[in-house]
Amino acid sequence: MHIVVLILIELLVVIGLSRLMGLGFERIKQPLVIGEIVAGIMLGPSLLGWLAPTWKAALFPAEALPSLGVLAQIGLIFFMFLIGLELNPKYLRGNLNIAVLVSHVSILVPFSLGCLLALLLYPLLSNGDVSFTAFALFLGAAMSITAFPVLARIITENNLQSSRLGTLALTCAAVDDVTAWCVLALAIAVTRTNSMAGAIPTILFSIVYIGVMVTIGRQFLKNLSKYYDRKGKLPQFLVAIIYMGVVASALITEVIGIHFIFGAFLLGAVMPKNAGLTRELAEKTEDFVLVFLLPLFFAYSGLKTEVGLLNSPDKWLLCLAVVGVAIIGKYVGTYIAARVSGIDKRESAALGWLMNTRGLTELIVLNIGLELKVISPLLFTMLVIMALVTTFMTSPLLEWTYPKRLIRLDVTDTEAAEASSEPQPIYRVLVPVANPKTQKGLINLALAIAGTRQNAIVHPLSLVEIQENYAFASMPIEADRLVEQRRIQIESLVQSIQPPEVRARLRPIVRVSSDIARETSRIAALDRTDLVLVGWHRPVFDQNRLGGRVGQILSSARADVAVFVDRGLQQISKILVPYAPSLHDELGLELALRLLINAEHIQLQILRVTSPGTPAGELSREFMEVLAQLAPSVRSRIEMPILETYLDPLQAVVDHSVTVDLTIAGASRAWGSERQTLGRYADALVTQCVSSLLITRKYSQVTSHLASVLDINPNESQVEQL
Amino acid sequence: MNHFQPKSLVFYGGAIAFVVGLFGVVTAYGEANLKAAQSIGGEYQISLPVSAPCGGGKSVLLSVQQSGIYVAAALTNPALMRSPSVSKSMTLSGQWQNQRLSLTGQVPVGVLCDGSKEAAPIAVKIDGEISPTSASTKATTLTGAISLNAAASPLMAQRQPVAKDEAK
Repeated sequence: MHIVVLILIELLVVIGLSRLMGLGFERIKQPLVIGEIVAGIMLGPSLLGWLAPTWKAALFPAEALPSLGVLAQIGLIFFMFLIGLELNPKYLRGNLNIAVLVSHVSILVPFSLGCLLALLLYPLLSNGDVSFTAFALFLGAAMSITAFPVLARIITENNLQSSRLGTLALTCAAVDDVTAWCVLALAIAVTRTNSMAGAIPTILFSIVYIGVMVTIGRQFLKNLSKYYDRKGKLPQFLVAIIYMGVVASALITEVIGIHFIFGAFLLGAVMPKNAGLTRELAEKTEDFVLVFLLPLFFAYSGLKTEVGLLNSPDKWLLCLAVVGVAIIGKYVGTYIAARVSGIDKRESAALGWLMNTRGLTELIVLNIGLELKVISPLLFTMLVIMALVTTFMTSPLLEWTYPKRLIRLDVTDTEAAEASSEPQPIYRVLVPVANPKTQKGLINLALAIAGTRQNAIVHPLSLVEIQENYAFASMPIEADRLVEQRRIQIESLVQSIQPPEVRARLRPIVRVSSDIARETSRIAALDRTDLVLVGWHRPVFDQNRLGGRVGQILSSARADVAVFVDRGLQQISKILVPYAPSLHDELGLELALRLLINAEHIQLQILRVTSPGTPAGELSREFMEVLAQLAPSVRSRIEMPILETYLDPLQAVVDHSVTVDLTIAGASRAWGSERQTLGRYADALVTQCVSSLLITRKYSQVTSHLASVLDINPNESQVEQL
Repeated sequence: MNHFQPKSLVFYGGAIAFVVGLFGVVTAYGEANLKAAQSIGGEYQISLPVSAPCGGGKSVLLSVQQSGIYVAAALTNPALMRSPSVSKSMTLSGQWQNQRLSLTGQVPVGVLCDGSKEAAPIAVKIDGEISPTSASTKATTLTGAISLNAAASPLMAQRQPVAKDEAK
């Protein structure tokens, strides 16, 4: 087979599998990078080569490896450039004095332990051609790594970027990252010259080059940045110059004797952090690099990882020692330094686990070590396992030591403090707002349900969706910018709500999330929301009208949910509740009564449809009891007609909906709105209802939507305008 | 900022000096007293004994991948290696200690019998000494015994010169 054809097939397999595994690992709340690394390992001798050696040999023959290697290295160069580009001095903002201490100790301790571990491993796992100094330096560097890019994404994913823990971890990781690259550069210089003394010229040249880049290089790049500001966009000509700069810088560091990745990283790091330029450049570069080239690096690395080499208990014991020293060194170093700096135990522990994230950065270091033959294939495999374990354990251990409900208490803004000084609300409505510009009607309805006289509040929830991968948008600073942008939009929505006094009932929540439905359900559970009110959107990939994201929220929310289909609702004067005995219709009735009590101009019609000669469904005993408690002025506004007709009940409801402003129906088969019912007619009411529609789905049989309004207002309801 | 206060600088200086000192002591001890296993990785051409399945006289390649004292190896048939569907699986493993190499494992019959599809693999055991024959060319020779399905025969193999691509 022609080599190009073979490489193209390899590309298909590698990209496909790495996306698939990435998605799989995201499902179990792990960073995408773990899935990609595992996909690479699966394609190598550890799985494919073990299960189907001939397939593996056919797909990745020896003659194709150099081409794959070249593509992988180009990907690595531009990935390192992106890492440098993302390294923003703004990350050095959180408790810098503590961060400097923590990051230094968190490098020095694992580095020292790594050097001591080298005493055990060198006679067993190294070859005579490698000097002990180079081996110890490399092992120490491998133990000290913290992967800033992976850590940054974990922090964004957990909405920690505004917390003290998040800013501290980011600062530490940024310092660690730069320090670790310096240690690695030293290790490479020593390995190539096989002695400390021999490495001195390389080190001197490196320092000179860094000096040139920080001064002359930075000045030149500032001019490019000014050019960008004048143009207002990033022309291809400028992109070409910057890419040429990346490659030239990579070449220079390779010639100096460190490694080409440092040149690319350095250029990215000294780029002026002009927000527009950085974002546009990152966005232009990252898609191809992250989706196309980086998986090749993982595959190339996976082809060299042979888990099968660990075929005896003594080797597994050595592997355990490597993993143990890496975890303990990083954790203990970080924990002690944080405690000495006055951080409490829980945060220190969380910081210790966060700093253990090694991920992709470790893999880059290991590949260089293997390429220079300073680490042997067996040690390479052990260290890859260590990188996987330390990255994999971060999210669950973070959740264990610092659960999300506690993270929320740690937010640095004053929201929490302000909220705690007020009496606890007795009724909460959570309103996921996808597009703040179009969902005024939804907020108005939520306010009408909540009412304005009781201590009831409405949380407009706006989630900024990020994909948990290496996208620039998922970096904390960029995520902060997006959150701020959304906060302004939500604030503008709040300010547009009339009358102005109801705005105090609106408490927006804005945050980032990689899974909107799951995060909505989580917030609903954490906030003990009484009702989740969702706006209906036509799902793109789903025939079911209640499919898509609304369907996901309906399925996953552990709270009562109402889906609002807005047909131009301006004011609610007449409400129709078609009633059939079901839990979901009971919820519909409760919400309708709440609306009725909150606003005295509203009329409610509870419609029961039956065939001639058949008794109509009885209203529940609970409802009749509630009815008895209502003030006469409320009761007088309720009609309960029974319609005997040969018509389809659904058609009867549709006909009645012509005369009302809002129809409230339970998510039940009777109204063709049962979520689980799939098919063309499942969502008939959603399509045919003439008025605006509210579909209710009861989750909790305990939640009462009327208790608060009945307790507070047992005698008379007062005038409230929607 | 606090970290530029003399107290902090003394702490950082002290910590870094300690680690540099520790590194110095550890590397000095390691360089002086620890010896890593001699490098033996590469390819050795083995002439199969007459007692081998499918007869003797054929040459096979023993590819040795070394990780210190731990060794993994593959036995391949150079005549079949041109086919892209032939994999070089490291099916033999063992140790390299005190100048002695011992490897055990199984190889597919096809390696020794020119592509035979027979399912049952052949049990292989290699035991021998590796010694340098020329200091200038780094040539080494493996001498000892090879046992194929428990039939032992003397073994003598020369390490092949390493191709440039493979060295990377």
